[in-house]
Amino acid sequence: MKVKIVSPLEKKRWIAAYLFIAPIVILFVIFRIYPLFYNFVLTFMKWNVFKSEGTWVGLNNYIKLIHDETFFCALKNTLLYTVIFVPVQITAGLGIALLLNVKFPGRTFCRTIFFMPYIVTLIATAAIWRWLYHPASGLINAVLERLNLPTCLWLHGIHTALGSVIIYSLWQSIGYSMIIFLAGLQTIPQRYYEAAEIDGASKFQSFTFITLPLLTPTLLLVLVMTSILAFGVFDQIYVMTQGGPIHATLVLVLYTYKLAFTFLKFSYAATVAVVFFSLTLLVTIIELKLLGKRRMTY
Amino acid sequence: MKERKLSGKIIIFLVSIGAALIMLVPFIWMFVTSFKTPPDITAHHLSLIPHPFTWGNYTRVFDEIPLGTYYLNSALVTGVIIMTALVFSSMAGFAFAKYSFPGREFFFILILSTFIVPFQVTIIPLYLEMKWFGLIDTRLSLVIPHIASAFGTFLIRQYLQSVPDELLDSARIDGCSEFRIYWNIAMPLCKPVLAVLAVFNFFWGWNDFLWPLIVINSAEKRTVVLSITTSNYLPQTAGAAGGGTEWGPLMVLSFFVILPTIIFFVFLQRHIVKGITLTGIK
Repeated sequence: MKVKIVSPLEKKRWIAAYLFIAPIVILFVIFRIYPLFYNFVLTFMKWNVFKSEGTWVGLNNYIKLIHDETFFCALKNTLLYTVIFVPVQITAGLGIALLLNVKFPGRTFCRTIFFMPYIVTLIATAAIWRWLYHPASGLINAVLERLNLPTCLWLHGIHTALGSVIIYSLWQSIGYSMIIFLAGLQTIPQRYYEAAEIDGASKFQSFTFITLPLLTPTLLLVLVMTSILAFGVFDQIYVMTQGGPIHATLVLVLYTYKLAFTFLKFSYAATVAVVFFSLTLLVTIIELKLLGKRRMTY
Repeated sequence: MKERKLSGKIIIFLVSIGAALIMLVPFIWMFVTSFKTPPDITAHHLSLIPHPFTWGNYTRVFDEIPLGTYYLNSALVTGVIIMTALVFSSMAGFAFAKYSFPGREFFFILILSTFIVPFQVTIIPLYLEMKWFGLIDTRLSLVIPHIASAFGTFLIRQYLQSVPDELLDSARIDGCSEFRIYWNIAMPLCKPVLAVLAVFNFFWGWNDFLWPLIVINSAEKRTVVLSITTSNYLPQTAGAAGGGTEWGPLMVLSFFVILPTIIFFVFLQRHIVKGITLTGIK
């Protein structure tokens, strides 16, 4: 074995470095890593809120989970929300980015407007949209009526509530993917397009053979980020529907929240949170693997 | 050929402006509704000019909602979040970028790994922990989840890695202490990235909802964002029909909730866009 000799000077630097990272490492262990670990521990307990102590119950919470119809409803809604939200968000975000990548007067103004809903307080815009969606006096139905189109119950209809929340979420977060795609588009050298034009490629061809392949890393980033965003959806549902009507918009995070802070079933709520976590992790890994392989270099 | 290009541009112009205006409709309608009287609100009018025009919703909100207290709480919490996040993550980011010490990779990966853990996963144990520390219903508890964020450490480490070591070494030769190297040399270099981090933490702190909803009980400790769901204008018992919802005052309240974020957005747009494209993180 080689013995490494550490000079006093080097030792001094080590101490400095440890002092620099100490606050954040301590905070992390206490408020990030320990809670994550403890969340798993909780799933094997029955937590008594009033005594603030748990008793071991083995796999009881997981067995309960398998027989819990409300849980599967929340799981189904979360998956449905994600499966619709993510592809539409990516396609529309890319479309708007392509549109706003063209130079024209008012381009900066348009970018600002598209991005604004993403940055302003979500809770407030969700309240505003709840008003727009109102079946009797909301703006959307009023406009539909004037245009002689059929009106809709929106947030109050069992079959339309989740879709209505998705439309709101798209409005809210489209600016995020737009900004990232715009940044991605700017990294593609203009000369590739010029060369393609000389070779007689159509606009559509240069899009499929130049833009898309070179945009794959950006696409991957937006895909992972919007999937995580979609899985964790909570705020707008809390404001707009509270999970209703019946359980039409109940999602995993809202179910976790209600189990814990309305029904005080802390350990069972932690079990739902574990499922939520595993799902997020699984999807992130799959997406990284699938698209990561296809990355192209020119 | 040139004519075709021009007409294409005109179409793109019209489509983009049209879509942008549609995006603005919710904000415009919020504003219009806030000046309407209750009968006018439910009357299904499409008119953009409130008739009769009223300040009634505004005076009601000022009378019934302690907006000043809420603003103060939000400002206080967000301010502390920004300060602590900047100091702690810049110190750690600096050490990870510019020192080699045993366990560096381990600690860095430990911090980075929390990136993949959504905050919502740990709300229950974190709540129990806060209870144990006696921090429930305190403004301090609102700050804690934000300080322990991997984002800043990562951002500053990336940025400082591009700074040549010679710069720091020459300062060492001049007799600078390690802390002064961090404070007087590394931090001034980090100004642009610190600005991005401050802006992000402002929006995270200001717009935070789930965590304040869980830990804050007393009215006088509420943040601005909590004012909407705790007001009587949007009763939680309203259910599907939305009965009892008072749209006029609710729109006024929404206006005051989003106002600071819009002001910040207008002034700091450059930093926000730069930050997002730099990292991809929201």
